[in-house]
Amino acid sequence: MKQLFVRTFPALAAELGDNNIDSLLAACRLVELAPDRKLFRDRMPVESLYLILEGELSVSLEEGDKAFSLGTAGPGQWLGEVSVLSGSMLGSATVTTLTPVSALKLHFQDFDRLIRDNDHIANALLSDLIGLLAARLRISAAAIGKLAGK
Amino acid sequence: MELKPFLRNLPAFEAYNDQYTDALIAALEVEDCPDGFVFVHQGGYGGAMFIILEGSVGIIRRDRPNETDYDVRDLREGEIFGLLSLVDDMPAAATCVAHGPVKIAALTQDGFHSLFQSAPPICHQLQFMIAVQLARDLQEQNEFLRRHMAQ
Repeated sequence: MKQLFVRTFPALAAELGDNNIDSLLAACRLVELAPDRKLFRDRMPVESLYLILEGELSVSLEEGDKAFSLGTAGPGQWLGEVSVLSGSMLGSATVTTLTPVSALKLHFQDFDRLIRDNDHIANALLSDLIGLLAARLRISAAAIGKLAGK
Repeated sequence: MELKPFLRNLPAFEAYNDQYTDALIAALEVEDCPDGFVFVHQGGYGGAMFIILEGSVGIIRRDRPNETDYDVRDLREGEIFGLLSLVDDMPAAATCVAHGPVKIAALTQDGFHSLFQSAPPICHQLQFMIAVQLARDLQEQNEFLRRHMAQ
């Protein structure tokens, strides 16, 4: 599992260092998901973050019987971070597995403990999450810009 | 104005020792700004994070698709804005304007990066606040898309 994590999250792994990778992995649980499984449902409770190791997932918003695709997620990405960091603890989108998926599941309380107790882990995880969230915000803003231009 | 007791009264910075608080103060640039001063324009880059020391700052957002300006809220003494200016290539989500004379403490990207060495716990607190702000902004954008879908 450690080799796969280092291969999939190379920048985060390099920032964490060997001992802190062990601390992170000890707090996580490896989960294997079949295709066509809902990992999160839009606006339904979320209690964990996921670090995707293998596979592909679709991300979409739902409103009534309509769905709006926000794209796909795959290896090297986090999921569930918007719900946990915003404090809403509700899914910000529906996430569905398109292929078999392997992921590290990190309960929000263990995430809180990791960033509270270890400055080095806090810096590494938060830097990675800020980069990911900023990229997602730019994509979302571009989608809104296209809609507004219609 | 004595910055140390002021910062110690803010929830974000109340827990840090003298060494870290002094490092933060060294990284801050205090400025007096006149009424109507624009700290950052919506969509603009390269600003700073600001702590309001005295006065009031209005947050104004231009809504899409109608392109109409609306007042989001007024920020007062002790409140922080411009956090996302500390993230590379992240445009400001709103325009921030002084309502009356304002005394401000600014933390630039360079100042923020210097804190990684001089006050790591404060840096991590700011990183956490940035991550929370990004997550909330993303939720808000998703909510805009949902409203658009419902129309």
